[in-house]
Amino acid sequence: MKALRYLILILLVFIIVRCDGVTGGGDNPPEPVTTGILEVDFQLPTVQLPTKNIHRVDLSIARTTDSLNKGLFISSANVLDSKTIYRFTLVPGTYYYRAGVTCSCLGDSCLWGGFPGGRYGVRWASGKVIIALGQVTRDVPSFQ
Amino acid sequence: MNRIIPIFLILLLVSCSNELPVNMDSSGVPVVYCVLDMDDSLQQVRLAKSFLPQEGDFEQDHYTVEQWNEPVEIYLEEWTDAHTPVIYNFSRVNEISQDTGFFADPSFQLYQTYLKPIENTVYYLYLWFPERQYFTYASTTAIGHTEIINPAAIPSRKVTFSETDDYIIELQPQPNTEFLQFNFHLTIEQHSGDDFIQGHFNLGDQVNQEYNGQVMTYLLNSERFYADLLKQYDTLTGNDYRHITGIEFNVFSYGSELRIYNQLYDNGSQPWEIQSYSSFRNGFGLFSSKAKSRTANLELSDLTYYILTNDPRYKHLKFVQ
Repeated sequence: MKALRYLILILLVFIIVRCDGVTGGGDNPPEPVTTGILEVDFQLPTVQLPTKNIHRVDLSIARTTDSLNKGLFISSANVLDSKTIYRFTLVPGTYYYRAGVTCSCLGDSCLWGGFPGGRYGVRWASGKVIIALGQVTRDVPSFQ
Repeated sequence: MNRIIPIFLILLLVSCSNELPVNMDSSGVPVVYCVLDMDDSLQQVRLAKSFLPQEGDFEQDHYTVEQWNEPVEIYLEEWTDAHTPVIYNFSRVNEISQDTGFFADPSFQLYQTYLKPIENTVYYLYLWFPERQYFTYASTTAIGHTEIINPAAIPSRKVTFSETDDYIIELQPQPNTEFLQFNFHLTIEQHSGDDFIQGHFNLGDQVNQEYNGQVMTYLLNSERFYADLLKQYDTLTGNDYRHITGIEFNVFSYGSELRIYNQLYDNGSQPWEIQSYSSFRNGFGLFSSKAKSRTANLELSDLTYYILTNDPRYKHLKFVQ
């Protein structure tokens, strides 16, 4: 019985020593944070149309408004109807984004819902965000 | 307790008496492959013969097949209701090459019937061998078409492949669908002077998953898109360029039998190898169904084109938007 206790004690010491090496991470300091996070809460606009017919189509980010208009993006999300929150890891600075939604209702419904040209017309929202080091900046696109 | 064991043994022997010990048949065993195509009105059965194995040879994954040289009657029962099945007879065809398609091998004899399968319907395939006086048979429930939720056929929603964002595929498989192969299929033209060559580039994967009624989500690694492009295409010089003229997303769905078939041997990207698995009684082979779903007219995003045309790692491929 005594021998068993010693064996357990030796095993425990062995495990502790081993784990120490793995989890301690040595003397290396943690890598410095060089980025911030942009979190876009991509809510659909409120329209008098069935929600299942309103679709997210674009969420792209650029460094300047010119780049945004020219389609020179630094990041674009693969947007989904089932996903609302989109996160981008960016170096600190000022960014501009655009978010687009479209409508797949038949007839004139989309037109009356404010989608230019009717079915599959795109409504755009854009915004300016300032990303700070190590911070999460949240923004909600505002559709006119 | 002592009385129960003999009774159990007798029951066991009686219940097994209508099964043929296929691996012991010295005149060969029927090998049958039939994957009902839900998108076609012409269905095919492949039939060959194999001399399997002594006991213990089951460790071998693959077996060889030979031509079937005995009379056979092949028919399919379609059970749309619980009372009377609709019967379709298969007839032999010689004019079609037998070394292409699923489970290709020149030794297979080909049989065809005209039938457009119905989703969620039970089918029984029977092969009657008059000289041997037995049936080889199997059943399957025909699958439906997998619904592609994303990529969706929504104009303006474009496909982005970038290092910061993997692509999320969302699929809704239909009942009994348990093996899926899917890919982005790009049509790429390579222009040289006034000539061009059209080629295709595929990016996809396959999933074995038991049907659970849930939406299946799959993360397609964006970096693979660029890595595979570099593997498939080389540097262009002069005024030559490449132009992506079409993108579509295809999903090939298969019945639960295919999931078992592939899981059994971990076939990886070669799911159509002929192997010693059987969904048949009194024979070897596979009876299942397949269906294709497709989203066409997709577009790559501006960011993807920007990376393709400006990033020094891919610029030499000379893609244009």
